[in-house]
Amino acid sequence: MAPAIEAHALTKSFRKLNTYRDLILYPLRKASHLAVDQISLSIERGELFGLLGQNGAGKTTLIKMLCTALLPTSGRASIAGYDVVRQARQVRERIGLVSGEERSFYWRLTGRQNLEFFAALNHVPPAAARQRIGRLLDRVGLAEFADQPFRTYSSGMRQKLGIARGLLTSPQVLFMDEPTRSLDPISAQSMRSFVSEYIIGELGCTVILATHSMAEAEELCDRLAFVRSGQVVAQGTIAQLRQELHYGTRCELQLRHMPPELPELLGRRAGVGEISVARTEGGQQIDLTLSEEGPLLAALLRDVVESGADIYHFQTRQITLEEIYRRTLSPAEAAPAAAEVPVC
Amino acid sequence: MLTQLRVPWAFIVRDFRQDVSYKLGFLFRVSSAILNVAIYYFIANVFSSTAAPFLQSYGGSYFGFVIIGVAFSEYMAIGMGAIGDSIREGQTTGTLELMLLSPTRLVVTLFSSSLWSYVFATLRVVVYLLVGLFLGMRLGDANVPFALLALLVSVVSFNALGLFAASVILLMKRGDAVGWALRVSSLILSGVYYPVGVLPEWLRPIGQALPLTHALELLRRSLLLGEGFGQLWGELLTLIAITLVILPIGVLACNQAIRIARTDGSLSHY
Repeated sequence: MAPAIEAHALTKSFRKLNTYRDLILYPLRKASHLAVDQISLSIERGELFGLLGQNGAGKTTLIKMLCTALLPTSGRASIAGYDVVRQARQVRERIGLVSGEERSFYWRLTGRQNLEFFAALNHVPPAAARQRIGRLLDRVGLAEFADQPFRTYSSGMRQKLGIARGLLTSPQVLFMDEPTRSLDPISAQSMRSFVSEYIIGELGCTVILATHSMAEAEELCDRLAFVRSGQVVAQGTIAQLRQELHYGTRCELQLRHMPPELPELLGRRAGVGEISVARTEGGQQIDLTLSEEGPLLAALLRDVVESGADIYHFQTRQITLEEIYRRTLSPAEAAPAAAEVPVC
Repeated sequence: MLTQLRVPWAFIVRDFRQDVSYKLGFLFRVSSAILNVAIYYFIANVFSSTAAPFLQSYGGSYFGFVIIGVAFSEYMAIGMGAIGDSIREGQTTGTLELMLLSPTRLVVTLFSSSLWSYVFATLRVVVYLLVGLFLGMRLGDANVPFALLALLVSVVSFNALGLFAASVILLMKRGDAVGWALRVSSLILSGVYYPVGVLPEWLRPIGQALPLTHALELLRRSLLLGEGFGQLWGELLTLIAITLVILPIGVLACNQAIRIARTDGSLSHY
């Protein structure tokens, strides 16, 4: 059985719009901007795959290509085995899209009327549509507001209606582009529960989720990809990403007295990554990233005690997704920004 | 068959619901037709004797001539503008991309998006004709079945031209130059307010290339004189021929514009 989503060397470059000045001075010059650069992915059925990256990294462009809204410049992609360019209609019959865009509804129609229209457009038979709309409105918590005009909805309600619309066709693959962007923390948490319990648990959809929320990604995603300048710079489960960084453990040492040479001494140990020292109320704190906990940690503690430092607290923990994200996508790690490629 | 009609029906219901939600605007647009008829009634009274020589082939009455011209040119305005307007609305509301991501065929989506405007125009045409009849317009011998056939062909040809205008909006976002040029040239050269016989000789061939010229000729002669296929077959075939030429080109232009918009990512830009 074909994977739910497959992309091979998918690339998208946009032609840059010329300014009036360029049109006069360089009428023949054309430049393009590489938004997605040779991305390859394989996502299994029922998987929830997260896309993380800064604004403009290429996440939305990638989603738009996969859901047939945008034609790739090169490479290929398929949804449930159907090519997104040559078999766009078959792809559209199998996907749903939830965008963070609030304005994509008819504001003078009610929530229910909006869903009725999109259900018809997506060829959902009327009886099934009525039943499905009722059930979805109930599941997203909009049943009692279903017959109020969309313009009276709050941002959170609009977002929920967007999710209901994305599920109208009972899609095999659901694309969610920042679905909790305008939700308060409580609504966002309830949305996450809805995604994991209903969309994944009950419906068994494959989901691609583009998000800036680390909590959301950490709680929901089976696998993640970090996107930077149109390229996937790392992908895998959180545990795999942590392992790839080599320094997946963080150690905090709090000291009443710290000999000045101690940080340098600790830094000489193989397996110690970043070291930072900060003043605290009781003295000083050393933060270290480590490749492992066992023997290395014992050796470090021995170094601390032998140096004469007065240690009163220490703890270790695995680095969070946010730390992995920052370290993977930080400017220091970043490749040169998306190149401007002259076309002719 | 019913399944095929669900999408067009959904568009009609959507647009009806939106239109009637603007209650005053809805009533104003219906009632303005009454005022228009009254204005043309008085103008016709002023010009009835001088205009008569030009109107012999339409029964001699300027009032009937102009009411049919104005009423049915609304279909032309809709055909050339409604698809573009719908695309523009979809771009500004952000719904266009979602509509085009549905499995419904592009042509069905675009034509369906103009249907309510036709329904509403029909309501206004009925008002035009009823008020016109009340004020003395004569339609006693009207050949209604033939007029409906002519109207059907006309609407398809107007929509074909509308697809060109829509293509320009898809690509340029603003500046509906093609639609504007087609609407204005049709109003000037197709005999909406005056018979094409009053135009200079060199302008008439341009008018003959426009579908509205033939549509109005067919509608006036079938409604005012009761003529049918026997007298008007040549005119009808000309209109069908024009439609058969411009329709595929319009569909092609629109498909190409959508393809370009999907390539440069501007489908939902405005």
